[in-house]
Amino acid sequence: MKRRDLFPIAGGIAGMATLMSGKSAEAATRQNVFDPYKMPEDMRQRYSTRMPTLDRQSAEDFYGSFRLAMNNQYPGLEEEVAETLAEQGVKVDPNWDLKTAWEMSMKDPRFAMKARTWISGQQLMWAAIKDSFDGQADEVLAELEKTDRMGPGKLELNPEMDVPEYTRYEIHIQPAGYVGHPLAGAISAFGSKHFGRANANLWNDHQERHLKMAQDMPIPKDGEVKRILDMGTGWGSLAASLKERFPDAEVWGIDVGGPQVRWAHHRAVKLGLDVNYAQRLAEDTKFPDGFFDLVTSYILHHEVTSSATKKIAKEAFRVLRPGGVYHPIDFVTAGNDDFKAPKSLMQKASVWQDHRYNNEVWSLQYRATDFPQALRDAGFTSVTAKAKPGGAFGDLTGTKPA
Amino acid sequence: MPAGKTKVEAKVGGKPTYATDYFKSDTEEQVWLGSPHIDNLVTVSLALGGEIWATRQRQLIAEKLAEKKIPATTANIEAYKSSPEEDKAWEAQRVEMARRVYGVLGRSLKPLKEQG
Repeated sequence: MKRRDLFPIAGGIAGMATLMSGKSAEAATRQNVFDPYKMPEDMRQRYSTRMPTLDRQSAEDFYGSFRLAMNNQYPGLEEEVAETLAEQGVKVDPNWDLKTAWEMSMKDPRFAMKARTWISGQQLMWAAIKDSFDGQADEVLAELEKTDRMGPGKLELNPEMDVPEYTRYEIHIQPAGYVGHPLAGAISAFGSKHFGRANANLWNDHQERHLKMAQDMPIPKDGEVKRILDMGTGWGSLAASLKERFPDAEVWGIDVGGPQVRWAHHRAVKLGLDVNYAQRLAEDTKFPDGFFDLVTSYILHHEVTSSATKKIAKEAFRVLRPGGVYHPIDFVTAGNDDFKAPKSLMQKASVWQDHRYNNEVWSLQYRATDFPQALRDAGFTSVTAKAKPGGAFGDLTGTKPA
Repeated sequence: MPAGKTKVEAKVGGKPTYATDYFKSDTEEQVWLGSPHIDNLVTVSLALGGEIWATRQRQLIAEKLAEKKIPATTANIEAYKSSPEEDKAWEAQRVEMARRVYGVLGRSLKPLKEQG
């Protein structure tokens, strides 16, 4: 390709600080400990990926920066919407539901412009990525065919798998969703860089966010982490980041989307990481009982039904060994002391916009689900649930009784 | 909610796509600014920002190459690897450009109303 490689080939994480953790050096698993936000230059280059054309990458960068720039361009909006409604003889009712809050707010032209520009930016971002990959689809698919057969990690695709209906939506209005585009994994991967631009805590241009989550991941008390499972791995970033932290562990990433795990495997091959990816369901992983020391997921649960969340928690319990840890990373839900339901008009309208027009189809169900209780119901003990400081995500961890 | 699924080819050119049918969102059908033409024009204006920045980005890279006495060929521009300092500086330029050009979209409408 007449462009910079999608992934510069590189080896492991040589040169980084390593240490042994846990009760004893014999029992504990070797770990690489580092600060992803101060990664050395060779690692930064390894994770410095770009879309097939510079122009489309630049356009995507701009849409991310646009969102960041516009974040603080609407001071006093809530009061102005209330005044607009008052002029129309409507008094803001604190009991309005989310949909009504959105519909009423849209009567104000400034709010409507805010909604329009946010969604247009999201649509253009996806279009820039999709166009970039569609324009070189033959070349990229040929590259995938090659890496399908390469290691060090395994790739398992199950094209005959029964894909649940609830997974077939265009979540975040990603074109064709997670399962409907042959390059859905690549599209998700580059979209994730965009999402992070509007929030310093979510910055992810070089996979910093996932590497940090892996560094912060809680582990079993005995320090043993021989096998790790990342459910709903998508384009495989958290699983790969966990392999960077635990270089001796057997790491698996599973996802319902064949194109997702295909791209995840491609990345791992190019990064030189021995991670296994499989097209499987989080509700039915096919792994034996007690197989893993650590099970995790990143923003999986708010993209599945409440019923699926409960099934997935039970499956995580089943595949963990006694003393194993389950740490699903996602937004704070009901049942967590730090959960705050949207109260103000703008908060309610914003949540509805995200659900209805950014197509977060299952997010309302998710937030209403008592996720900590779902872990207890699955059998987990020592369930801890709180909000993570400085970010949108919760800190939810369950341990399987030893 | 969507009525039916969008069909996806299981194979293209005899090769499996591993993709499957999906429900298309209706977000692109929404009209929020009183006329679909106005909605479209807002999207057009944002798209133009992306195109302008893409041109600006190529120019910035060409200038960096020139400083290093490297020809600003298409291949060299496409292959350019930016430094963390350049990433940071260019992000700041993009944000400033977006604020400068599009900030007006967020302006309060109260003064206009007060003028009648």
